[in-house]
Amino acid sequence: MLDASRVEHRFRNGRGVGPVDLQVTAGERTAIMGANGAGKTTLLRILATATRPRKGTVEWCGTAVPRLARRWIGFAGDATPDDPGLTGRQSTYFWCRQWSAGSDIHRAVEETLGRLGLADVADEPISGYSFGMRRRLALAQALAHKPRIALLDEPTAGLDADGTASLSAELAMRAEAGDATLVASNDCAFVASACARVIFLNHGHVVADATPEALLASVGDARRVEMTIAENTAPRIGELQTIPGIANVSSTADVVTLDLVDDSALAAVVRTVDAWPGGLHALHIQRPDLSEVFRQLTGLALDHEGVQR
Amino acid sequence: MMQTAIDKSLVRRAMPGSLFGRELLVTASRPRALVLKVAIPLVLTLPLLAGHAPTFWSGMLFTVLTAMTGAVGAAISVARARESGLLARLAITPRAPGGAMLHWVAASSIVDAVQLTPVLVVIFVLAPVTAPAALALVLIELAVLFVANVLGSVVAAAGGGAGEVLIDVLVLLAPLMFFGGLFTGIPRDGWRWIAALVDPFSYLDSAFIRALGGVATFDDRSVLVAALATAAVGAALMLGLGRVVLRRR
Repeated sequence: MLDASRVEHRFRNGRGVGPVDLQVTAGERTAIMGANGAGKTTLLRILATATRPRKGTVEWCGTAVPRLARRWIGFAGDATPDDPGLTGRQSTYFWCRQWSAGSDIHRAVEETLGRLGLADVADEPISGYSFGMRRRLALAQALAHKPRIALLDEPTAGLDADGTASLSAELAMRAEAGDATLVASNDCAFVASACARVIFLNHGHVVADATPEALLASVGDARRVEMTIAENTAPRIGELQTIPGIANVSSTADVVTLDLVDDSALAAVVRTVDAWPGGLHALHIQRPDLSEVFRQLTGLALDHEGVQR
Repeated sequence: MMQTAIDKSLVRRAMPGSLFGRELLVTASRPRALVLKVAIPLVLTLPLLAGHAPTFWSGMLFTVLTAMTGAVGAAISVARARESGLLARLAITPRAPGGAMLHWVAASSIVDAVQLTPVLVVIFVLAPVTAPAALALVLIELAVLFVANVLGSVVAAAGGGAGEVLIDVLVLLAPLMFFGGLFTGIPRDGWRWIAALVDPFSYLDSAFIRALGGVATFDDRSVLVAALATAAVGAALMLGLGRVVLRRR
């Protein structure tokens, strides 16, 4: 359905993407993850025909001609809809018409607005929408015409829990219908639950391409413990390294981080730290997620990017 | 109050299927702005006509008003659309870029024509206009508004923000208006006469002067032909350069 071969697009500052090979089949839900500047948005823009790659080729549903391919594509960039004076329904109808000449557009618009929780405000001017509502509207406008290939840049930015759940359901529905969806997102929880394939980009190159489950399995199931302590006790963290069942102890300023290989070691860790002057201020336990996998692969943090309001 | 509520409901129920419809709907959804747009040209027009200003001056002012209304309005709205990401979104839809931009400038020209219609009505009421002269004036006015919108859109593609394109448009319009003889009249021979023959502003200026009872450079028939040619050239320009306007980042 989507076949990018040796695609490359570098800017003057060296940032950009490629060369990248990417094949997406019908019904696939794929996430592209990477640190800031990794090339996620550039890759998505190339696949959306907004940017012409300097090298390589892309085929969409069997055609390599962007003008012909656009009929199969739906794209939601990081901008929110700005149609002054128009209502959400009018704006969505307009964009749906630009993408599709189908006869059933009215129904498609109504259904999509309903699924994304905008039915009640569809007749209100967009100028009165909150940021989250505008983000939902942007997604509705990219998906209402039922594109074979949907490309969504940071789709969960600005969405509340309901919005994220609606989006996950939308992606699942598209997959059932055989339509492919690519999202550029660093929202680990969303990607792990809504996408069946994850591609890590680092400095424009693919460093991993697997299912979320396979990626998570690669780092084991050791829980990460993060403790906030009094700053002046940082030199005493060596005491923690003597406790059996923990690994990878490290500290930065007043935060101590370690991996809990054996859950029963947690009590000893808490007792030890709480006995220090100032004691334990805060404790956070987390199962390894995709950001941890990314960190281990690249040494970089996978920050969850927001969209500029 | 009841009328306004009904109108608002009608505007909100209309579904824009094209850029043409969208632009008209956006304008209709802001009636207060439209009223202001209509009022400003009238404020300039009424004192000139009521004070029996020389036709040369009045013709010049109305032509400048038309050119500025069309070109500046289009340039600023295209620059804003680029800044808001609207053009980038349009550029990746399956619609032909030239066709999309043609829709845009056509709608924008209609809005501009609505804005300037009271000016024409006042001229027709207060000045001794023959029917052929009135027809010629209306058609060349529409054609010049259209081509001014096209020029404004194209200039906006080359410029930066809304403030920057305003200056760019003025730099383009000033020589066109000069060659159109707005400020100095047109010598009947030499290169300036040839320049005036292909400059739509010279025909509009002439049509205004004739409608106001002055001595015009071109007859009604020439103005009608110029109106058709201007519209055709404007449409061809927009179809050809629409891609540049839409895809410029």
